[in-house]
Amino acid sequence: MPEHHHATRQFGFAALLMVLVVGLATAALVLARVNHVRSGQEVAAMLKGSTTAHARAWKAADAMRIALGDAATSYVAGLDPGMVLAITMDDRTSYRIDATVVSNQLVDGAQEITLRVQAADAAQLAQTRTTAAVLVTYQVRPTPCDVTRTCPKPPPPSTLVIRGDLDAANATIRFLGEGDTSLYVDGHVNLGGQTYNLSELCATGNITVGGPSEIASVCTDMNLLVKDSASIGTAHAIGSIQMQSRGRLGSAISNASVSVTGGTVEHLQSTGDVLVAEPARVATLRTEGKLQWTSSASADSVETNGDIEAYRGNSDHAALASRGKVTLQGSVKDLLAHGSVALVPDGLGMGVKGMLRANGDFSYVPRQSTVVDGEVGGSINPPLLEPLVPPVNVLQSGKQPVVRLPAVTVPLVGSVLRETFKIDVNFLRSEANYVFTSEDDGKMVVQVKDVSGIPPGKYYLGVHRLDSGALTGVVRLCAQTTLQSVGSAQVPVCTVPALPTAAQALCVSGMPSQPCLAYTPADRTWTFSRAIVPVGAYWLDGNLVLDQSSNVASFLATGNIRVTGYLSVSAPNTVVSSRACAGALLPTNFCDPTSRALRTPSLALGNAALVAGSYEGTVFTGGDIHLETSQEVAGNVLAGNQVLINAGAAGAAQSVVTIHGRMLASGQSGQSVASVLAGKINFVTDDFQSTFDPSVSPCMSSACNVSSTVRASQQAVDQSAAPSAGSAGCTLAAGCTQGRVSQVRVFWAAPD
Amino acid sequence: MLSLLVGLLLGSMAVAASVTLYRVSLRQSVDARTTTQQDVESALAMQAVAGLVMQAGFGIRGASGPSALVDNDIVLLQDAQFRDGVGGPLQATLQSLLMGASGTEVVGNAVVWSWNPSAQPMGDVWCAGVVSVGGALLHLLPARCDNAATGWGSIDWQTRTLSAPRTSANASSAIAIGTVFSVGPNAQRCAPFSTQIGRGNATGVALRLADFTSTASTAPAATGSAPAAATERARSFTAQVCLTNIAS
Repeated sequence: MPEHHHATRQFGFAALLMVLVVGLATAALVLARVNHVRSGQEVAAMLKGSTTAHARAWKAADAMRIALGDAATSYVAGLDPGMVLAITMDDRTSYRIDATVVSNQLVDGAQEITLRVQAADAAQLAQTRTTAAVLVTYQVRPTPCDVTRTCPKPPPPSTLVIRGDLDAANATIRFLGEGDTSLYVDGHVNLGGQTYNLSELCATGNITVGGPSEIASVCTDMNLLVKDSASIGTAHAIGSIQMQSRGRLGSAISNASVSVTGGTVEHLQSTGDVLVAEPARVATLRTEGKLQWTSSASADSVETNGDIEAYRGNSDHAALASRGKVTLQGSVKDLLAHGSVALVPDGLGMGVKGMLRANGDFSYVPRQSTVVDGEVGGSINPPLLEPLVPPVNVLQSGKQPVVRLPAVTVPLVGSVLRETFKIDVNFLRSEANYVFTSEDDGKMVVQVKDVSGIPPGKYYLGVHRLDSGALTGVVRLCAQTTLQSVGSAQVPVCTVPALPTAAQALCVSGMPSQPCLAYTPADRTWTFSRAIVPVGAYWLDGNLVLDQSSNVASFLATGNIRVTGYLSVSAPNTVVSSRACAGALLPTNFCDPTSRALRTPSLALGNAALVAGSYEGTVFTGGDIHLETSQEVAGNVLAGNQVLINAGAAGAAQSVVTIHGRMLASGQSGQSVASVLAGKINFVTDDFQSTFDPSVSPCMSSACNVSSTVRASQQAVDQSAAPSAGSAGCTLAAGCTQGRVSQVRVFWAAPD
Repeated sequence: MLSLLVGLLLGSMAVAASVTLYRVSLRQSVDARTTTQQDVESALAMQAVAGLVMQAGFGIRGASGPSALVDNDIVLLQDAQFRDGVGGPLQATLQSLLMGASGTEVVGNAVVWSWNPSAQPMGDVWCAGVVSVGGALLHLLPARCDNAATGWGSIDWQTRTLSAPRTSANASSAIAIGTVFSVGPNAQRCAPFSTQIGRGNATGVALRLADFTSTASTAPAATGSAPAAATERARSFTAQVCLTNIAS
């Protein structure tokens, strides 16, 4: 038994020792692993954090570039070292950019500003928060269309300004006039129909131009598509350009890729890749990307930073220069390449008819390819052992590089200036001669002011009843009206006239049995039917329908306006004084009662023919203007939301809508709005009365000391620090209806 | 008695096995720690180099704006080493970066660049660089110069260690440890940097930094020669840097 006890003790000791040693080993192993994993994780987190921070800082540097491009150069010039520009990115990332001005000076007419750009994310966890800064030097060069601080005249605004998309795919639009005409759209544009005599088309969205249209200049923040047989003089696109038209494109710059599959492009510059396919031709082409040329038409000169993946043009005058590789299937005169050159001829004797210089390898097809004078830095495949027919004269150069080409740099396209304006007819109520409202029971009420022949005050509007009891089409100013049922409608009948004679009627109908004015409370709509009204400004609470009426008046509706039937509306300023200031009821705010002539300077309200839309609190209502069938509108058409023109609505093939003046649609409803133009539409842009200035719109905000067309700039740069173009009375340089603020180049950038 | 002997035998076998296990584990964990430390150092050094190299060409100005060029404001050196000890003038074979940018990849073990930190028209130009010698990665500290092409061989370089010489876990098979710099055509568009700052893809030069341990019989990193195809990059950190301020 004692032995047994002894043996058990020994066994226990060994087991204990074993457990201890194994335990120690395992613990050491685990601890080492933990340490390994932890330090690995720390590095990963640190690297990830700093990589993210760096990426953000570079992104921020680019955001600053865009912001500087939107800023006036006078603003950029005023940035002193030490100042901080702060931007909060409003994308999903929601980080803040702080840019400190390091230096800022004028060099060769351009502002060179060095910023220390930093992006910080407050939401990030403290232990992984890393900040990185990038030092960037920007060159900000003003374009001719830069704003300056002191400007004598308000900007010449665009003929047509649309906020929201514009669909004119089925419209034939003619701009009639000698001067420049421009169309500005803050959205996508489809001019797929026909457009004539348009000088400039600028859009923040995609542009499609089709039909046999001819436009002198096009600029877009997005992509441009030219189709059918449209031709464009100059095109600038931040996005891609697709030329599918049989027509001509004079000069084009794209900051993205370009495809030319039809027509001719004279000068093309692109920062992206370029495709030229049969039967298109580009005369001079410069790209920072690569080129695919599958058309058999020949270029005059081609410069690329990327590879020329294929060139099938066939002539002996083209000059190709590439900083990449070149595959030549057709013929050229000269070919210079940093990379290798492969001749893969489409036909016998095709190749380089002049000089070939390449730093890379050279390959060819014996007894097919030809090279007149070649020198390459790389190998020659297959080796040239004997003279060939057609000849391939290529030497392997001893020195490197054989050729050094300057890099192609394509100008950056600036973003389109935004024209902003606001429509709210509530601001015009106090200027109107006739203010139409309704009482709860549906009775029509008008507030009259500034009309000689009618004492100012409130009147009821009622249909004039003959002594026989029969109703007429005349609507008079009354002290009292009663509602009388006529058919299903409640017609207010004048029981006590306010003014003695029927000549002082508000309106007379061309059709004796139909009242010239009616109001339907259900849809809050005022309808003038075949009405002849006194000259003046008409303000209506609700929607307005003008049906086959011809008048000299400004119509202002808080809701929508629909104009239908054959009609002409002329704003008071657009007609001669003998028409505007005639008749018994004279609008004294427009006309001088003694001389019976339009006042000078003329009232801004008199430049507008139709104005629609208003705010109820902060909610915008109405603002749509519909023009149907044939209309002649003289004066500006100002829609707070959208314009819908259908010149062929009644099936009349000869229907034409003609607008003398400007047309604006400002998309204030906030929903996705799309103005639609269809049928034949003419915009007349000159031959106006001296009293009519289409660039001047009536004031429709609580603080407007200049025209209501105000450029919005400095969207990204600190708003409070930037000078407001509107309040400072700034304007664009002469000849710039839509232009670029400034061109920004990044000179240098490095982590700081 | 016999059972006691058997017990003792079994016990000592178990103890021996445990001690061996302990030794192996300990060595492994020490190795792991060393490796981890070296990895950390390598990764951080690589980051630092990537940041430093991007200074190249900053503020270098010609008559019409930026004018920095490869082979002038940034040079790649093969077989670079100090004439005596660590620090002082370098001697090396100059490689053509232009060739690298437009064709075959060129490699080296040192990069020297020049830049004008103030970006002012008359600002001073400085040179700096990084060199991989003896397994260590050294920062060649900024010194005044005209440009990198003339400065690299004439400057009396002061150095700072970015990562210390490596020791290998398995010294018998790993021969070369170090950093190689290479320049190739800018195929990857240098996204997001050069595209983001609106310069397009083509004017940047891409510089690749690779930190590696080679188990081949040649020692590429020590000389900056091209690693042979058979070289096994057992542990390799690669960083691609776009030289936004340099035109090729």
